[in-house]
Amino acid sequence: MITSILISLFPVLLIGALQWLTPSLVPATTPFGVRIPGDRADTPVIAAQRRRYRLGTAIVTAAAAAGVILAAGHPASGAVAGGAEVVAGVGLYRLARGRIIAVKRSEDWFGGHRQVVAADTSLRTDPERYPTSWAVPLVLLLAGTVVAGVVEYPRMPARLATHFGQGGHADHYAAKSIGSVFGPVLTQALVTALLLVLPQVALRGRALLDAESSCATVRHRRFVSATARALLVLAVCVNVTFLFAALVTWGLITVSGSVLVAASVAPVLVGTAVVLAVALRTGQGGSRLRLGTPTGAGGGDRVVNRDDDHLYRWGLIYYNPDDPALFVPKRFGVGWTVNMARPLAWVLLAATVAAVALGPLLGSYAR
Amino acid sequence: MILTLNVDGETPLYQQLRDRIVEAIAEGRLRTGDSLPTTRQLAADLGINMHTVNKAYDLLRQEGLVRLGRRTGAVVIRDADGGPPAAGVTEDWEARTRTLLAEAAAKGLSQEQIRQRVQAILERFPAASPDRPITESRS
Repeated sequence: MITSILISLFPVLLIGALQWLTPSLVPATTPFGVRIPGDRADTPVIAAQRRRYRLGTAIVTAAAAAGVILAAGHPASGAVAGGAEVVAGVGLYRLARGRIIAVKRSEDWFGGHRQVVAADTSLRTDPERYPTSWAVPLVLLLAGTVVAGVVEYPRMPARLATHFGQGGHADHYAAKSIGSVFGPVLTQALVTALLLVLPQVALRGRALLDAESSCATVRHRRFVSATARALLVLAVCVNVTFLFAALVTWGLITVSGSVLVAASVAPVLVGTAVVLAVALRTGQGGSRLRLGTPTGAGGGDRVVNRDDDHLYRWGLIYYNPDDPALFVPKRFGVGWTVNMARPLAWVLLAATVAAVALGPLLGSYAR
Repeated sequence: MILTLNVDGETPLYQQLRDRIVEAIAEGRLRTGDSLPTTRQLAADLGINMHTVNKAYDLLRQEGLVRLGRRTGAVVIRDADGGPPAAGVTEDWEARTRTLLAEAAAKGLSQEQIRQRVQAILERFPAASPDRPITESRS
């Protein structure tokens, strides 16, 4: 029971921690998704809303965790509590955002400023290179899994353990066949392909360039380069888990229950920790990187980033039919999101929903 | 090269884009053979309509400053080192400059003030100074 409580608590605490951290990870010119001139970043209302939001997320997280413990780690408790946290988090975000927008409007923060958009053509004519050497271990692991499956196929038992219950005891079996042996490998290949593409999104997506900063391009380059590598590290970790799971399923190695749980969870935890550590270090768009003293563009009327709040529906969803970009920087978080005005964004959304919905369904068939 | 467009100004975006690129060529930040991003890529980076970028690139093409390719985007095909201007360029430019200088004179700038300011602007263009550096670093 303790194990199941811990497993359900993990996502609840992770979501809570991410919500608590997010205000510190976004650029100072977009607190709670509100575009502000750089010289207003220290306005008291922003610090006050940040405190309120954090207090709110702490209370919600504590309540969600208590709920999981009271439910004694019921299998659905983690998902329900996590979902409630996300909904409450959106509410707290919208509250903080509303207060800041109200002050911004009443005090006319953008008055007397020249609003600009900036792009650096060198990011396209001399782009950051895909870290190919970091992808090599990934391809080797995948190839190793396939080779192990092919070579050891004759030696595999006639009945494969396809699912392990609590304590690591096999509770579902499937007859040995090409499908049951290589089905999981196909999943591994698809997940690997997806993780190989993600760094490309990081490298090709719109840059978050602060028109008020002189080192915006350096920030962006370091951010995408670190993010691309972290994603490939995560991909390697996920592949290690897949390989391990395959070897156990194929009866090529036998391990005790606790080792089974630890060895399959640990790599994914390590990979996630690496991605989180990089996000914490760089911040969204590299906004947390320390790059000497920033120098403003200066001039009589100050140059500021365009007030683009209206392009984010409910402060959450980017919708701009004029913008041909598909991947744009997240407003409140680290990474990229999609421009929902592009038809391809809906295709991606549908594919994600389908994958999430069909994944467990296919899994249950495989048993 | 950083391109900055004024979104709430009176000058249309395509005109600003064209002007910034002409300035970059004059200042030596862009040279013959340098490429600019594709229309789609630049529009996506700036978050503006593709037609806006298209219009700017097309103006530059008509002026003989860039060549457009479907896949390659725009390539700069002439800069300050590219020899004497084509026929009609000088006359056309002089007509527009007359208006600009007239505005300054009509609004009270003295001839000396105008000369100083024009000189200061020219000094930012490496081609205009006799001791032009051979290699100009691109940003």
